[in-house]
This record gives sequence, structure tokens and C-alpha cells, in this order.
Amino acid sequence: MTVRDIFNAVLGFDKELVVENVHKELSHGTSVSVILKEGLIAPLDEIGQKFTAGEIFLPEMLAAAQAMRGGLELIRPQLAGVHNLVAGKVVIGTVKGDLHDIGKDLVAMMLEGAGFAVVNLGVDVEPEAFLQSAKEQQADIVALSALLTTTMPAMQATLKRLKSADIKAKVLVGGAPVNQSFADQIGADGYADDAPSAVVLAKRLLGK
Amino acid sequence: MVGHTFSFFTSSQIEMLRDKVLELLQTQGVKLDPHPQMFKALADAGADVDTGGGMVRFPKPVMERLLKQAPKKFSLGARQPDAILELPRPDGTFYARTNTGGHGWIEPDAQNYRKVTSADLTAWARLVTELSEISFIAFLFCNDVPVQTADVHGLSTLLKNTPKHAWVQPYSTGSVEYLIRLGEAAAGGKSALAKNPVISMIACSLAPKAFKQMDLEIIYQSAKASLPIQACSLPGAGGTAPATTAGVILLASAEILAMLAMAQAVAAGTPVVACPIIFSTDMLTGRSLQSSVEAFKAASGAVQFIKAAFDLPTHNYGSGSDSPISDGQGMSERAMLSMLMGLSGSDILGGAGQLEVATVLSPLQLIIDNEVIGMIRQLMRGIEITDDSLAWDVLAGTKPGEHFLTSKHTLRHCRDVHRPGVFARPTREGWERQGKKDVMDRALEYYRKLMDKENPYHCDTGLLREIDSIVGAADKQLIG
Repeated sequence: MTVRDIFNAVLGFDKELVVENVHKELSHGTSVSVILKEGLIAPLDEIGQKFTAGEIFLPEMLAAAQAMRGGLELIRPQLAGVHNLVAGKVVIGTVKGDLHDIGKDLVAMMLEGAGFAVVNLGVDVEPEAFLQSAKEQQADIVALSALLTTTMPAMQATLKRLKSADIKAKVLVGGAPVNQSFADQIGADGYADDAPSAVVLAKRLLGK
Repeated sequence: MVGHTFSFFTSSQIEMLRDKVLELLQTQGVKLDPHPQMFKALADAGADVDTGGGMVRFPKPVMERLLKQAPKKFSLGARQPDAILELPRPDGTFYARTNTGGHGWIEPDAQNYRKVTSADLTAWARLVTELSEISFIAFLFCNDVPVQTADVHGLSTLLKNTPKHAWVQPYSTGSVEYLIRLGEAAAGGKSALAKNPVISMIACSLAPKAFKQMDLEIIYQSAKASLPIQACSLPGAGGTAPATTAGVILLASAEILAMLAMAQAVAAGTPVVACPIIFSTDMLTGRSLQSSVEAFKAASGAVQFIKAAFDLPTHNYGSGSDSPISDGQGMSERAMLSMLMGLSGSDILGGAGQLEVATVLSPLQLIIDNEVIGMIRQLMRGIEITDDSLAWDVLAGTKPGEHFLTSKHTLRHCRDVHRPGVFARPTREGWERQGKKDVMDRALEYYRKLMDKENPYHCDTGLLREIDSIVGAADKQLIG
């Protein structure tokens, strides 16, 4: 039994086995830093590379992230104050008038998998609710989603509200009708055309 | 005669799947946003309605009764008698229609991408008026009109520029009333619209198993106005629906039946077209795909199943592509889809002229799709076996080695063939001599020639005024 078994369990998308192996390593006296870096983060890096190369599918990547988080929860108390586990804080939601959530949820899950702390506000979210949450969470990023062409103006209204309240968080936009030109037009900090690109963009905007 | 004999299912599989659909609606049910009138109509019809939580379940006998109330044959109206669409199409083939709600536009000349404008929609309607294989039209999302009333403006542009049937996708609950008023104006009044429904309404589920307030209102008001409802389920396999083909067909069919039940509960006999417009989720990016082989298979399988199990008119994408441009991939995808959906028996093939998963329109692509659809309809008409078609006497009167070019039989039948408009069959030398034009060049020539001519359809000035008055009222009411 080694840390490599945790690594392999993450790659096998087996959350229960990850938890079991982390328990075993802790009982063997392995340091939480080693478990974190070599057992939990390293396989996700590998998964990320495979995903970028088109060798891993989204459900597999999400399953790996869930398996990793299972192990992470076990060691989180001991890591507090030692490691900054959070890549950044993201508030995400589908804008007012739009009830579509799957694309937005996908981005949220992938951001979580990449180490971001994500607050998912759901669908049909008022500009004021985005603002409130961004303030409370001290968000680094606010991510706005829309599927309907008709709700694109709500994106602009939300962004305007955030800027008027002097929120410093970067604002990302995405969704079927949105493009870079629209993002530029309304003054968003970034646009991503799919979930993996959103993660790359979020990291880049925060200098990760 | 009907030529479609292709099926994914055995009769016992159809029976089993039918039972599963009814069982899903009886045990799992669907969730409705608050809509007191719809809840009451459903409860009165015998559905199990939880008004607090919005869950509605349909006991099997109730669903079977409501299914019987839905007409199997009806017409989509139009403002010219020869444009009225009898469902199912009497010759056993299908009708074709254009995209709804697309917001991007590929300029015919430079092939540049930009946002759709009202002038583009006018040109689009003009094109549809002329294209013989495109039987009806939907409005696009024009970016130069108020967003709150973009649907009302869109329908008004269609009604002013083409007499063909319009299918209508409302963008908000508030606009439903104005869209129906536009339909009434075009048809000549409320009762005239009920008799000759020049518009049909799109209602959608929010997969999985949920319905928004706007769509409930569409069903409610449309049923009250005796308008045909195109009940659309647009699940994405692996995302908003099970990843497996059978699972997504099950879900789409159940959602469509739920909408049918709502329509019948509000007004028995409301015409419903089943639209299982199934997507697949790209497992590498999460994007919705209309032209993956899995999406093709599920959508065509759903059409086959719904027709066999419930005998309802069906409607699906029968054209379109995931490619953002009119390239080889796009042409291949749309030709495969048209053929597959035609042979599956879909009564309506949608998506003509659309690119990039139904978000972008190309007038030149629409002209090419018109050609492909015409060829497939020709194919679907089947093979006639009669004394004349067997040409026994002609064969008997022709010696070995002779030809048939000068026979009266050939003269009589030489125009039976599909005559290509923009497809060409030149020799290489001929092609070079004519400027090495490809199908896009020829489609552009057709487009330019058409746009130089006057629109054959002239909207009555009284109707123009009435349309403008309704649009003005919608703007006043809906723009905050």
C-alpha cells in the first residue's frame, strides 16, 4: 500500500477506494502534504492532460474530480492553514429569465474539479443576487451563463450592476448565443465557448 | 405510395417501449411551473395533480383517453390555398421548414458571419416564398428590434412577406397573446384562424420532465384558440437525458405525451405534432450536437416509435449541421439526416438552411437544402408497378440493340425525373469553360436573380396596418 494506490484509485474514478486508501495512508503515518500532492492532485493533472488531448471524456473527468474530492475531504481539517487549497472563488449562475442550467453546471463542476471553490446560484438569477453573493463570498470570478438569445441583455444588466457596485471580481460570460464580440461589447473580462475553455480562462485570469 | 419501410424496432419492442412511456407518466410524472388554469384542466381530465409541488402524474387510462382525443389528421393553414399543408402529406412524403430562432447570418456574397437583422428575415421570407420544397417558415432572432418583442416583430415580418404557414416560437409569456393576435389578423379573425390555422405554436419541455410557465401558457392559449401545437422535446443524450438511445427516446416521448395531454385537457381535439428533436452531448466539450450519429439515430428512432405507437404526425430536424460553415462535413451531415429522417417517416423535416447546431442561417445553404429535399421526396415516392411503368409493350416492340430515346413512352415519362436547380452535371471542359463554378456559386446566382425580382406576394395594406398596430401594442405593453 502506497500513495500510488490513491493516485490509481482517482484515475479509476473510484471514490470509495480513494477514501479507503487515504484512510490507510493516514494510519501508516504518511504526511497529508504527500497524500495531497502525489495521491490527489497529481492524478487530476494527468486527467486534465488526457482530457485536453481528447483521450478522456467529460463524465470520466468529473468522476475523477469527485473521487479526488472524497479523499480531500478526509484530510482537509489537517491541511487548514498549511496549504491554500482553493484556486479561487467563483460565483456562477444562469442570468435572469433563463432556466437552462446544464452548461452552467458543467462549468461549475469542472471549475470545482480544477480546485476552485464554486457557489452555484442556479438559474433565473437576478443581477442583485449575483452582486450579493459576489460580496459575501469575496468572489474572484463571477460567471454568467445564458442559453437564450433573449436573455443576453440580462447578462449585460448583471455586469452593469456588478461594475456599478465596484465589484473587483473578473466577470466571465458563456452560453450558446454568446461570443467574444458580445463579451467585449458589454465589457466582460472573458468569454469561453465551452466548459474546458472556461477553466483555462479562469486560471489565466487569476494568474494560476 | 409510401416508400419508407426502414425501422429500428420490432413490433414487440414498440409495444414494450410504449408501455414504458405510459408507466413513466403514471409513476414518475412531470413537473409544471405554477399555472392554475392548466392545473385545473389537468385535474378535471383525471390527472393526478399536486398543485403545491407542481407534480402531475397521468394514470394510464387517462393518458389513453387523451391520446384518442388528439386528431391523427389535420392541416397547417396558409394564406394561399395551394400552400395549406395537409398532415400526413397525401403523397406519403413530408414537408420541410426552415430554422427557428437562429441569430447568426452568413452573408450570401462574402460568406461573412454577422448577426441577423430584420432585413435579413425579409430576404429569408422572400426566399422561402419561392423555394418549392420549403413548405413553411419560422422567424429568426433579429438583433435590430427590441429584445422584449423580438418574437412579435419576427412574426410580423413573416406575415408581411410570405403567404406560407408560419410556426411560432414565443420568447416570453407576455408575447403569446400578441403572436396569436397576429395570427388572427392574418387569417381574418378568431374563427377564421381556428378553421385555417396560418400559424402553429411551438411548446417545449425543459428536459428532463419539467415545463416552464411560458410553455404552459403557450399550450393553454393555443388550445383555447384551436391552434395546432408543435410539442417539442429537445433532450441532450448524456446531459439532460440518459446517454443511451433508448433512454433518450423514452424521455422525449413521455415529455411530448405530457404536452399532448395538457393540450387535450384544455380543449379536446387540439391538433398536436410530436417533435422529438433529440441532441447528443459531446462528451469532450459538453456541447449539444444535432448531427452526431447518435443524435441522428435517437431522433429518427423516436419518430419511428411515436408514429408506430401513437399514430401522431411527427416533426424533427431533417436538415442542418454541426459545422459552422457550408463545408463538406456540413453537406454530408445534412444529406444523411434528410435521407434518414425521410425514410423514418417524419411528416416534417426541419432545419433547412441552418448551420452550427441551429444557431446560424445561410440563404445559400437553404437553396441547396431545397434541392436535396426535393431529391429525397422524389426517392420517397417509391416505385410504381403498373402496366405502364413496367413498359411491357414498349420492351416487346424494341429489338435488341435499339434504344428508347425516341419512344412515345420515354417522351411521356422524361419529365418524371427530379430536375436539379443548383446541382449540375457538366463535363470537366464544360465546367472549366463556365468559370469553374461550384454549387455555392450557383446558389448565389439563384439568390441574386431572385432578389432582383419583385416579391410575388403582396400583403394587403389593411393587413399591414393591422399587423403594425398589434406590434405597436406589444411594444407598448411588453417593453418596460
